[in-house]
Amino acid sequence: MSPRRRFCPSVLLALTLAALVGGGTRTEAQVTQTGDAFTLAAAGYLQFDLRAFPGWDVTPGEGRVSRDTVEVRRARIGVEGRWRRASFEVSLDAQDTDGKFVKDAYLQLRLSPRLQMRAGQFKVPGTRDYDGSARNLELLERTPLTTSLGVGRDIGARIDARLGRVRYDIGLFAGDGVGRDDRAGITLAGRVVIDLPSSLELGGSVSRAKTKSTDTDPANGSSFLSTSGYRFADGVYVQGMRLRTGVDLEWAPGRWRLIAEALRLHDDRREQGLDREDLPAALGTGFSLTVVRRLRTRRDASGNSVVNALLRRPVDLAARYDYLSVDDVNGATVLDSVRPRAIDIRARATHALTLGSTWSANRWLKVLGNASLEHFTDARSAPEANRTGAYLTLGARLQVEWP
Amino acid sequence: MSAFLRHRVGTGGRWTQFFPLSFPKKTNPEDEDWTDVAGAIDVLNESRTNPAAWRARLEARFEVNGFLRWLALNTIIGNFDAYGGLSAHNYYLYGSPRHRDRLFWMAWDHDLAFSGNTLGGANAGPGGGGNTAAAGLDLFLDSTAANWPLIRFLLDDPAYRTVYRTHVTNLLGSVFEPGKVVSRLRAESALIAPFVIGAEGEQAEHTFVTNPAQFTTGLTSLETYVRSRHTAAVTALAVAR
Repeated sequence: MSPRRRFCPSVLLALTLAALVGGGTRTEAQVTQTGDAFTLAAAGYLQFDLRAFPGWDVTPGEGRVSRDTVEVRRARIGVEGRWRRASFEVSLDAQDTDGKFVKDAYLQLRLSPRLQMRAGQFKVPGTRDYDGSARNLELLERTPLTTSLGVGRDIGARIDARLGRVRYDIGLFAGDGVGRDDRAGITLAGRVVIDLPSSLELGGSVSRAKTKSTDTDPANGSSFLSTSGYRFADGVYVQGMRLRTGVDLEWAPGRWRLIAEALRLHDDRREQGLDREDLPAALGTGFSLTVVRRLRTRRDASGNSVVNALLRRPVDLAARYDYLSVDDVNGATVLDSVRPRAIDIRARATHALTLGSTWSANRWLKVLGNASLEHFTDARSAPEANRTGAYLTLGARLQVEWP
Repeated sequence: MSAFLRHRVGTGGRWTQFFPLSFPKKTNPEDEDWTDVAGAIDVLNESRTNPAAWRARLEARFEVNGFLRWLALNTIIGNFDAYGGLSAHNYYLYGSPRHRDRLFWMAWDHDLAFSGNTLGGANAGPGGGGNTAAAGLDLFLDSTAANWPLIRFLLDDPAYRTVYRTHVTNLLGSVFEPGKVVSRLRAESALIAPFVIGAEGEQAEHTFVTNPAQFTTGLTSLETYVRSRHTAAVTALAVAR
């Protein structure tokens, strides 16, 4: 894992002030030249998190728990521009924990109304969850399948196209997550989405990459993090083909939204045995099911009660079930192991149920609250070894957005 | 990825057979994973009819060269309280993920070194008795039985025996060169002397030194031991197969 950036009060203060000032004067952030349709707009957001791990026998923010009790989760600022058929985006984040200061930096050309081409650094096509902005998350964290199994940002080029009800993008990238320890080599990735009637979308994604291990480097396979950010399984050494296959669905009838997603990561382990023999491929499997309900905004709610004050602004309630597992493609043996060159990777999994709410106080301020219960199938890999049962995580986020 | 470290206790530490209880984990105990140690012990005890294949498999799991170097030095300095001697203890195994998960030998507790009761024979009495017999120094540990397989199997292998011989030769000419060792002994003795004997020395009820002369003669005994041990080792090296 990359070194974590710690809470930085100066960043928090600067971004908060910028957001508050900018939020009130949105038009000043945009430069528009209507004559040749040149536009330039700045944007940013700050996420300030508080978390609690009641009863956990681990130190948050260190070792196996990546999240801290107090932290600036993201401090992102960027600029977008458009001129005729061309557009660009550059965004930076001094606080994000994946080791990339530059998040997006790309140029995009609209070749036709149905075809666009993009080049630079940006998100590799992957899961539905990852496709969305971290600014619009219903819960504090993305799904574990995205965090542990999914692609990241990388340098490359992609084509976005639409054919009737079908949207797809396909791209070629230098890797599947710049800055990551588990980054693969040249990656071909694509995603397809079918718009169906009744507010239903079906999606699928595939990525294929080559991995190569180096003995003296840390293991280059994926680590497995639960919803709370607890690492319950370390990566193993992988080499050969890396294949991700995912399917997803979103159904949004009225104020409800239902999102289901599954992702499978298959990592070859050629010549990774102690005697340089091929080992059974590593296998990561993730599934998530999210239900979101937007409460009816009661603009006419009067009175000074807290409930009425809350209901005058949009409130989303969300519930999500997550499953994430690690194993190898062969069956279980008595020699299962957690070693980075294990012949039989010990099967481990986590189940989590997270409940959360999001309250948009105004157009630049959002408050999120989460409670999550996690269970680990192998008690040896639980936060407190051999303690079975559920682990509770509580979290709150203050998000300042601009514009 | 964290490293794995184990402290060995009990007879399982001989490496004749693997017993988890003989290798309590010092890091990552919650993992309950001994596959690396078990694998190394299994391979050590595999058939050696194809020595090259056996060596390759063993070296993929255990850092043999480092062990042989330790064994050479341990035998030269006469440390009896170690693997192959008093008991199968006083060592850790460090499993290094960045060395293809190989185990590294980490010896400790060498306070009974420089005694005559050594691995390899040549009795001279405890406490650096100084009269180490040149004759009878079993430098290549030929009298060590197969219930110490890390010694017996490795030194029975011609290739490893050659490596061991090279280590002995190099150590006798470097870290155990008498002039260097004696110089170091004198320097260290001078450093601690004011705090062991004399006005600022150890208090009578809190010391093993019964009189100042004992401290001084102890240094002399150690110097004599080093010189005679070096001579014995050079002699044994010359006649060993």
